[in-house]
Amino acid sequence: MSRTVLIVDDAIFMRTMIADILKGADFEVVGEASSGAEAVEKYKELKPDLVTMDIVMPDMGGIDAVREIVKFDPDARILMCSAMGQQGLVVEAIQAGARDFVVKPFQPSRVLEAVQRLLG
Amino acid sequence: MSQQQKYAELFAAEAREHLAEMGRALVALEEEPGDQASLDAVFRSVHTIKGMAAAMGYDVPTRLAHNIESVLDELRSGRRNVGAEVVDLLLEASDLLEGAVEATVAGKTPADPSSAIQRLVLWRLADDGEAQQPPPETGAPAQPSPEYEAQRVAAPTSRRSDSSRLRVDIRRLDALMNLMGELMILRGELKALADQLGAESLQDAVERAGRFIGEMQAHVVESRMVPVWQIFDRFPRLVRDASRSVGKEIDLEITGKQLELDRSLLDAISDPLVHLLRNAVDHGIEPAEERERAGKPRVGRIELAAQRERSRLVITIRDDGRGIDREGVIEKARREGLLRDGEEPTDQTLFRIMARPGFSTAAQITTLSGRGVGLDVVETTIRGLGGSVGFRSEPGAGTSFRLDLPLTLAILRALIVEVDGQVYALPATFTRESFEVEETAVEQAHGQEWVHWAGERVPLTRLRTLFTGGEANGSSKDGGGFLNLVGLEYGESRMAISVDQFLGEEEIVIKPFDPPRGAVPVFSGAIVRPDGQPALVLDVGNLS
Repeated sequence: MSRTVLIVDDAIFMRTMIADILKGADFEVVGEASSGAEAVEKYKELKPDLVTMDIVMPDMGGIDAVREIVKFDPDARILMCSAMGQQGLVVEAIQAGARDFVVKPFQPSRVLEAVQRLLG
Repeated sequence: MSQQQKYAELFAAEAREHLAEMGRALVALEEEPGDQASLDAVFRSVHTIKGMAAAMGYDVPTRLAHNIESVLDELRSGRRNVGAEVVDLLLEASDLLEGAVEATVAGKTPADPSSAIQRLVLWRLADDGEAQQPPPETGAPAQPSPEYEAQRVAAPTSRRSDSSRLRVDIRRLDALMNLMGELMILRGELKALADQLGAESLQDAVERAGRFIGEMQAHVVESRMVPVWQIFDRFPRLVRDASRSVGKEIDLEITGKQLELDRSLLDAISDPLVHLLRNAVDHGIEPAEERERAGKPRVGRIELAAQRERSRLVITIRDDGRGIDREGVIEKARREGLLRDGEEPTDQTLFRIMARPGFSTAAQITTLSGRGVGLDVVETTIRGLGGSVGFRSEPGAGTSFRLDLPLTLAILRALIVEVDGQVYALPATFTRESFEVEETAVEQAHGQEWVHWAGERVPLTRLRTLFTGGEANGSSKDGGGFLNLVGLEYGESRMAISVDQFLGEEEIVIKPFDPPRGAVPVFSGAIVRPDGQPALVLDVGNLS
C-alpha cells in the first residue's frame, strides 16, 4: 500500500518537484500546503504518514508548524527541506520535533533515502 | 513537454511572481524602512527564487539570489539598519536578478553578475559591519561542497508515467496541423477536379477520402487541446498578490477551468487575461471602505469563467466593482473628437474607444496595470485569434469582459465573397447571414450609410469603396439596384457590409500575413483557395 505524504512548501515549483520524486517511490501525495498554518490544518485533517516541510514560508514558518503538528501528534514524521546555509534553523527544527532534513537543491536519491530511513 | 521543461516553465512563472513581489516589498521598505513584514517578504521571495534556481541548476540567478539573501540576513537580524543606500543596492540587484532569470529562462547567457555580487559583498563588509564577518564570498553558496555541485546538476529525470498518456512536443503537433491544413486544401482541389471530370468512381473515392481527412482533422485538432486550468491556476496567486499590493481584499472565483482550448490559443490569451484581471483588481474593485459606504460586501469579487458555446469558448471576467468611469471616458473621447457632443455611446462603443492605442483616462494609469499590455493589445490579440471582446459596465455594479474565442486556431469556416474581381474570406465566427436590400433602402445619417437588418438599423460599409478608396457610390458591379449584404456580429455590435457576390462557404486555413505598407488595415491573414489562388481574410473587428 502506498504511503501518504503532505508536501509543504510555498513554491509550487518545489512542491511539484518533491511530489514527482515521491510519486516515483510509490507515495501518494494526499495534500499540499503553501504555508505553515495551512500545513497544520491539513495535517490534522489528513494525518499523513509523512510531511515534507519547507522552513521559510509566509503565514507561520516551517519550524512553528513543526511545533504545532508535534503538539497534535507526537509521532508525526516530518522531514525538513532546508536551503543551503540554514543549518541553525535545521537544528531548531529538529529540536522542535522534526525527524530529519534534506538540503535544497534536492537530489532525488537523497530525499528517498531520508524518507525510507524515516518511515523504516 | 519533458519533465525538465515542465520544471522550467514552473520556475519561470513562479520566479516572475516572486520578482514582482520582491519589487513591491522593496518599494514598501523604502517608504517605511522599519517595516519588518516587507523585509520578511523580500527575504522569502529571494529565498524561494534561490531554492528554485539552484534546483534548476541555474547558476547566475542562484548566486545573485544567494548574495542578496545574505545582505537581507544582515538587515533581518538587526545587525544593520535599513537605509536608502541598501534599498537602492537591493533594488538594483533585484533588477539584475530579474534580468538573469529572464535570460536563463529564454536560454540565453545572463549578464555577468560579478560586479553586482561584489557590491553586495562589499556592503556587508563595509563600515559598521561586525568584525566577525565571514570571508568575502563571490561564488556558490556558503558551503560549496562537492555535494552541492552534484546536487545542482541532478534533477529528477524519470517518473513513472501514466501509460495511457503521452507528452508530445507541441512543435510536432504544429507540423501535423500545418500538413492537415494543406490536406484540407487539397481535398477541396480534388473535389473540384473530380467534379470537373465528372468521373463518378473518382468522385466517389474523393468523397470517401474527404470524409477520412475530415475525421483526421478533428482528431488532430483535439490532440492540441489543453485544459484552461493550465493558465487559470496561476491567477489566484496573481490576484492575491496584485490585490495585496494595492491594499484591497478580493476573492477570485474560477469556474469551467477543465474546459479545453487549442494550446497555441491558450498561450496567446494568457497576457490579455492577466491584464484584464489586473485591471479588475486595480480599477474595478473599490477599496474596502468605499465598498462599505456603497453598501457592498467589504471583500470584492472577481469571477473568471470559461464556458463552451457551440464551437467557441467564452471566457468571462466579471468584477463587482465600481464600473468604468463612463463620464471620464466620454469626456475624453469628446475632447479627442472620437464622439460627437450629445452622442450617447453604447458599452461596446466605449470599449472600442478605450481600446484605442494610447487612450487611457488618468485614473487608469497605476504601476500595476500600467505595465504590460493595455486594452488595445487585449483587443488586437483576441481579434487576431479570430475572437471578439465584449464589454459591459454598470456604474456601481461592476464591469465584465467577454472573450469569445474559436476553439482552435488554424482551420475555420469562412464565407467567400467577391469584391471588384478579387476574392475575400469572411470568418464564419462573425457572419450571421447574407441578405439583399434595395439600393433605395440605404439611409444616410451622421455622415454614414445605414441599412435595416433583423429589426435594427446597422451601419453599412461598402467593401468596394473601402478597397478602392473612393467611388462613394460604387454599388454592386452591374448597378442592378440591389445590394448583396453580409450581416456581421462582432461582440455586441452589428454591421452590414456589401459585396459584389457570394461564392459560397469553405473551410479555410489561415496563414500568417504581413500586410504591405499602406494597405487598408482590415486583413488578418491570407488563405489559399482550392483552386490554388490566394485570398485575403477580412479582419471583421477592424471594419467597424
